[in-house]
Amino acid sequence: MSKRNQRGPEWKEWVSENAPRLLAYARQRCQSMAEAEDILQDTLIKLWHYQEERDFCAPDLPLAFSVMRYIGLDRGRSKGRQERRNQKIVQFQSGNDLWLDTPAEDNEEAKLLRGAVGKLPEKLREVLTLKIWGGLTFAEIGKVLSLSNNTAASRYRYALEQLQKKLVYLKDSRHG
Amino acid sequence: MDKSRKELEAQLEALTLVGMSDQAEARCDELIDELSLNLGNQSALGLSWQVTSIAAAIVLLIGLSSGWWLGRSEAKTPITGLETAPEVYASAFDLIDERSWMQIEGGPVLYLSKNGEVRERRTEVDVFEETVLHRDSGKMVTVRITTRQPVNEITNQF
Repeated sequence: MSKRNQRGPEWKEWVSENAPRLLAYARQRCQSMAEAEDILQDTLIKLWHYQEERDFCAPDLPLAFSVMRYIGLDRGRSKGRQERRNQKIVQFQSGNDLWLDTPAEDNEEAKLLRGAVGKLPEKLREVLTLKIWGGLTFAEIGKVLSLSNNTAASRYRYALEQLQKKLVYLKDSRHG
Repeated sequence: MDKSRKELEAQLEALTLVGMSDQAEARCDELIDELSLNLGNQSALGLSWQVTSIAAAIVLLIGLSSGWWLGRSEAKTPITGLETAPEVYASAFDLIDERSWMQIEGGPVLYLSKNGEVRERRTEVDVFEETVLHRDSGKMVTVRITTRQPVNEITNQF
């Protein structure tokens, strides 16, 4: 049996383990969870071919995020960026197609936080997603997004600052 | 890092990510099975088998015995200086797969221009890759076309 044939279970395990974080990232670049799942599948196909030179081993996460980013960019270009961006904003704010879930013991602050993350500017949310849920280092994020480490770290810091401010504002406005 | 920021990070980590739908999970499993069985280049991708004249024209000019990127196990050598050939030859080939993506060559460079603008310089590379099958010989040929586009623009993202 060739290495290609043997790798199936390993890839399935890899997908099962990493799909939520990959989908969270894909969701940044498209209009719906269904489209994010399509991007994930396209990413798998491309990764499989990339990994041919490495005996079809399951890929590492930074590579997967990079491939996913380019697939997302490619789709964006073909559909018309402006139109997609406008629709994406509507989708993110609609609340009907969530990509973050609150914990079982759902609390008010978690709900506020989820809403605030969804409303972050795309560039900040992208870095935040890769750091918090993707588990990447700033160096890895820099490579995925073609940024310097410092820029990635700055965007992350700025995203947290914005979230902090937003949460304070939302809590104050709720409690009068 | 102050305490409140650490708390915020902990709160963010506590938000769980939405997983794949059952259908998507089943499709991924099926896809991996097909890729494992070397079917991934064909039916699994849902691509049509229609002939493309572009690929065929390129292949004809390359010549199947020229040693360029034939099959999966042979050496891959970049090709350059392609020209088009008559469309009539296209019928000898089947399109197996086509892919395109964009990548950045090297890291983007930030610099301060004489006008005091912070600018970013990078090279974007559009890659188009197509694999065709020569029906009579059973040979597969992959053609990759890259287009480099230097970009120099003002940036305010740090």
